[in-house]
Amino acid sequence: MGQTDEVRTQRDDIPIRDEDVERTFKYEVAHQVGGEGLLRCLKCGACSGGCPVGAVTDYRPRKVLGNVLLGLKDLVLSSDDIWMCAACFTCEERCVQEVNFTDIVTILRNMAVKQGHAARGYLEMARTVVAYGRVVPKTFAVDKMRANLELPPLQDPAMEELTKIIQASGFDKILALYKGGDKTQ
Amino acid sequence: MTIAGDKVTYDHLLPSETAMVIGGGVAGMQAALDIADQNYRVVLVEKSPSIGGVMAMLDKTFPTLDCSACILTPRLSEVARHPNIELLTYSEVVGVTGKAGDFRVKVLRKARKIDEEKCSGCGDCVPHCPIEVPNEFDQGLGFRKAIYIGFPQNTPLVYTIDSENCIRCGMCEKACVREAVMLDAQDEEVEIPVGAIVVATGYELYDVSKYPRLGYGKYRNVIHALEYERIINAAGPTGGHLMRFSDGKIPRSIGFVQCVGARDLHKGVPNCSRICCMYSIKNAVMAFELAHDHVKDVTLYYADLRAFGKGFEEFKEMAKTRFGVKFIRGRVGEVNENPENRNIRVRVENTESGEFLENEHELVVISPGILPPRTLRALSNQMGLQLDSDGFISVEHASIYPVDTTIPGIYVCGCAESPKDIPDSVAAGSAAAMRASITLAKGGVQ
Repeated sequence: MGQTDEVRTQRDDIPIRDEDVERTFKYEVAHQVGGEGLLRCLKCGACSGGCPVGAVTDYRPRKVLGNVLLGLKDLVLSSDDIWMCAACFTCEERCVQEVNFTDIVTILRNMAVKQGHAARGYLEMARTVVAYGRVVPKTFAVDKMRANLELPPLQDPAMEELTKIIQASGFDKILALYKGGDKTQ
Repeated sequence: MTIAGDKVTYDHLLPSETAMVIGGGVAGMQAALDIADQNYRVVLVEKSPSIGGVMAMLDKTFPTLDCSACILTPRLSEVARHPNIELLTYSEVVGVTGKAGDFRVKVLRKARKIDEEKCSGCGDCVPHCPIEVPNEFDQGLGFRKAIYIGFPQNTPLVYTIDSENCIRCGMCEKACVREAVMLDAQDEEVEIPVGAIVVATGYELYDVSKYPRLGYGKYRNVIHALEYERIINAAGPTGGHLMRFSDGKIPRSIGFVQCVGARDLHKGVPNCSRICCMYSIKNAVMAFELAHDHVKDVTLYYADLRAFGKGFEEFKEMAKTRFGVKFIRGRVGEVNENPENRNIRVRVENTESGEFLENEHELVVISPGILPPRTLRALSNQMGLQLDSDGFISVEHASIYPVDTTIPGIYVCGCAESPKDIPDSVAAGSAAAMRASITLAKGGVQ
């Protein structure tokens, strides 16, 4: 995956123990905006069959949904699977039960980040936004490329307003959960 | 006699002794026979030139693998020769007034342009007709002339001139020694008094080209189940030789794609079509039966297998163990074509193992779900019938009045009410016939 040293995909051979199951987890997800379709899932596999990420990795959207429906909260939120979605919306387009998988993955990512399970790549991206106001920081190379293409130079982001937004939304508090590299908790 | 200008009346029919059956498929035929055998008169109205419906197009029936034509054609003759049944083929119901016991039904008799009394079905006109168009009966795979019968057992055995494609060259008129051709015949509307009506309008297949990802219409080696049915039929366009269309080869590996146009909220068809699982297992078995020297691999991709009827589960097990049909649980994500040999690659997740598969098949058969016919809404509006949210006719009570519509004196059977297999359609036909004859016997009083 490149973001973490070791890819933690959900393995099939792990037995499900009663203490791993949180029965209300699926309702927790389904009650958030975008998660309404979750309980309709039939696990037919139409999402996995067309997934461009699944074609080259072990990632299976169906398995993520299945584990959410089973209530395996810790497994789902700590695994790397939810960070592998490329948000191409193919599965949403093809889902026969109108499950909005991409929205559900967004909900799961938000939950995971609050529990300290953010993927390193995304974490670095968030820190860049806080520090520079951009996902990709402004560099000399970018300026030169824009000049060659006769595009106007990039303006400096309004850092003062951005900081206010970050504080008001609690984004900085979430980032404070993380120290240094990957996951501290 | 239906000579142009000579108005046919049905005043000799008494509404208290006559019932009408709309639709001449297997359910409608059963209803007509059962009413007629109780000594009531029956007017059977059929839209196409022949009775028989979709069952006449099928090759085999599940789960017994009976030849469909062998069990249907004696029925066709029985209906055509029954003294109490009046057959109005190539006709459509355009308006209904009145109430139970005394309906007036307006029927549009489309101009067949052939005198039904004179035509003997010899076919001498056919070689002379210069127009060739795709045959609807063969799902557009074979050809027919503008003067045609859909299939050899066309009932009544009377040719039809298709006004849309006929160029009025008059060649058939010269060829016909019995002088049955009437190129100037016009459509006519007749009013028929009946006491009870049975609606058996059947179904149509979901248009699978609405799933672009499955490649139907784009890749020649992707066909749908009814086309497959015509290909393996001995009277079909290929003479019963299983082949694929890109190069005419016998396919060595065939994939069946299930749940297309059924159980799909996204496409507005949330209901299960009931029959697709079983007809596909039957089609899969038929591939081995027909070309066991060539066919090495038949795989069926399903979402859930619903083998609900008598003997169906056993049939499925037989397909698995005796014939070696492979069953993979997983809805097909997409198919694409291998440009070198025009084989079809099926991308699917085996949801039982989590494995991502990209299987190559020489032929892919899509199994479409079934929908109410497009014309059913107009017909139900004329009759004042209620439709369910899925577009099928709604019944008085699904459990205890399964063939009574919301209007007294009008009954429903077959796939007009909900998707049904052949035995269920026949049972519903008999049930609707009994309910209709009760209405007739009581003179419209419920």
